[in-house]
Amino acid sequence: MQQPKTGATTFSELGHGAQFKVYDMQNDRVLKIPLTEAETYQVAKRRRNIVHGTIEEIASLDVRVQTFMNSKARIPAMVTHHFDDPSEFLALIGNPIIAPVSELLPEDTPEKRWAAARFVYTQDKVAMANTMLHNISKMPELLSGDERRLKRYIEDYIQLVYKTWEYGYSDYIFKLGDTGTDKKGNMIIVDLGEWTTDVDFINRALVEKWWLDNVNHQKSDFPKLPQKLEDFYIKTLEAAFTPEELAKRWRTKHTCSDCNEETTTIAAFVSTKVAEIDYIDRL
Amino acid sequence: MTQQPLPSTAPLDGTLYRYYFVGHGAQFRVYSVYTLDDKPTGRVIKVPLDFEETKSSIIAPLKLVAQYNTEEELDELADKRTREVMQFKHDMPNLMQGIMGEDKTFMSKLGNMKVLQAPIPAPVKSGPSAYYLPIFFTQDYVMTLDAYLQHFRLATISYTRDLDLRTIKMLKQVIRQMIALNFLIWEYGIFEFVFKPENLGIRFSKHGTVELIWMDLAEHITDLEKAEKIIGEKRWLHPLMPHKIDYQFMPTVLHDYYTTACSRAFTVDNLRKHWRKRCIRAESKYARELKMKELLSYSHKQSVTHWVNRHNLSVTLYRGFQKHTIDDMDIPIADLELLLRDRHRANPPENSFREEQIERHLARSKPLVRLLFPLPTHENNRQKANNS
Repeated sequence: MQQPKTGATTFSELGHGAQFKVYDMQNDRVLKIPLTEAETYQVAKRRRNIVHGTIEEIASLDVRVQTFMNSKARIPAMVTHHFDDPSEFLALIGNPIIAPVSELLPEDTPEKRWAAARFVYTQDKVAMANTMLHNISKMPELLSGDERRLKRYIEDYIQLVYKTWEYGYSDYIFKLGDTGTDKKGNMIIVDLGEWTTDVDFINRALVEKWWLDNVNHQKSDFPKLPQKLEDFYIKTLEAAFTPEELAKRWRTKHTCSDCNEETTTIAAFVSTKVAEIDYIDRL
Repeated sequence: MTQQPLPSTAPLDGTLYRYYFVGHGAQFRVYSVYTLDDKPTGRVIKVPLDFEETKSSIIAPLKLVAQYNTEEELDELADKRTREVMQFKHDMPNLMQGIMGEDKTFMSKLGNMKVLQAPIPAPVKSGPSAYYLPIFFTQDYVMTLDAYLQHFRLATISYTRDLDLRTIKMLKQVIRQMIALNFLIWEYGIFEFVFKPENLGIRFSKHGTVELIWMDLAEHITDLEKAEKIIGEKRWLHPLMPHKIDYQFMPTVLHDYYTTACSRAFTVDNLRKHWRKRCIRAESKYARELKMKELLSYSHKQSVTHWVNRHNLSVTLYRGFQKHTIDDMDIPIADLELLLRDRHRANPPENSFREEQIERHLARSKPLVRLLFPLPTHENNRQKANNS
């Protein structure tokens, strides 16, 4: 076995979401390690999960934990999809690379369970909108410069989501806080744990306006836009996130060697079967 | 600087260096690093204790202070305490990142602590190419303040110790520096909440002046509200309380001056005055710079980047290691493995001081003994002047 050098890399923890712990690799990349089931329980307990647009609790803690665990297991398939030219799509999601160290996660034990999400990945490091929104929310009033930039940021976000639709993928949580900008100023969606290729499902998310969670004050796990911009956000997204806009763009750039008639049929079948189990995503 | 004496423990011979065990706390085993020819490098390496080792190191003191009915209850308490201790250790790299790491004076007050992370091959059962990544630290090798203060045990009795004016002056300087070290970390929004003199180290210049440093700053919080509450508890008095067996009992002769100086310094007002002062200064400076860049950017993309970065300063200013905070001793992996394997070391005998126990005992039986021979304070001096 080759001996690694000391001091080659120095990682430091940046934080965690409901699915991964994030470490700064000190080279403009981050490393994401999946949370175990027990850790996911801890996070899920702290979060109030409600049905979109209501204050009704979405599901039991156990079910929510399983949903967090299962949905992240879909990441490798998305990241390694054989697009003819994957570079543009991957750039939209921070150039993720599944690290070839999956055997490092030991066998599941009752105390440490990773279940289906047995992978770690690296991604471009970004300045997060999450922090920016928190910072702005602490300001006594929204300055005109910030208001102007934030409006522009929302418009850029729409364009970013449009681009992902062109590849036949969509994030269905629409958490503005999960975006960020890299060193070159490119906006990126960093949370890859809740994406779908199911156009019917994303259509439903648009019809039911799941993106309203960014201004829903009951959703405590979403950083909120300043109140002054809520109207702007709602009007802009109502016009932009429609089934018509989705249909115009869906899979228009999806050229790959993975999807043939048979795999498409299998994918559709699996998607239907998963829908029967994975019902929280599909509420 | 004066050289530290060679530790009395049997060394571990590595590939490039020789390591002498100097002691352990609940988080690390500490080894002073020498060359194979026994020349000091002036540095120590802190080897992280694993869960089991941490637990075994906290169990004895916990038994003395915890309230429990059964062994199972004690075991549960020990697990909880161990997790807390492990978490503090886990947060330590935060002390060396971003603007704190950039501040060389601050890093010098942390004993020029450097982080050393190395992928260590895991035991064979974990798979053929498995590694794990423990975090070691290296730091300047200095005398512990605790060991230095032993020289002033029983100094209230003139037959055991003589305190000349120069020494008294130096001791006062030591106490003032203890306070200054706390003020310094408060300015970075860090609050050390145990006030243990054992966590400090001392070094001496050729001219006889002393410099105190933080040897162990693991037990810290960053929450002002909690810090204010702890200030109200006056925890800095714990080293003077004979029943506080988890603290080294401070030499009696220092009690009076220490109490007066600390009570004046460690107030909520002072905490608020110092709290995050350097952070706020840095945040404003960088925010101004980014605002300028934002306004002067030609492209929309660039200007949005500067704007997002400006609103991320509260996080990004405290992230990232500077080159000088990453260890450069080139300690070979094999040596690190050797140090990790050297588990369950008992502290060397010089770490338990008999005179400390005597002073503690005297304080228990005669609580006023400290008034016999206090270090002169401003009040004493003023009183003396008035009397004369």
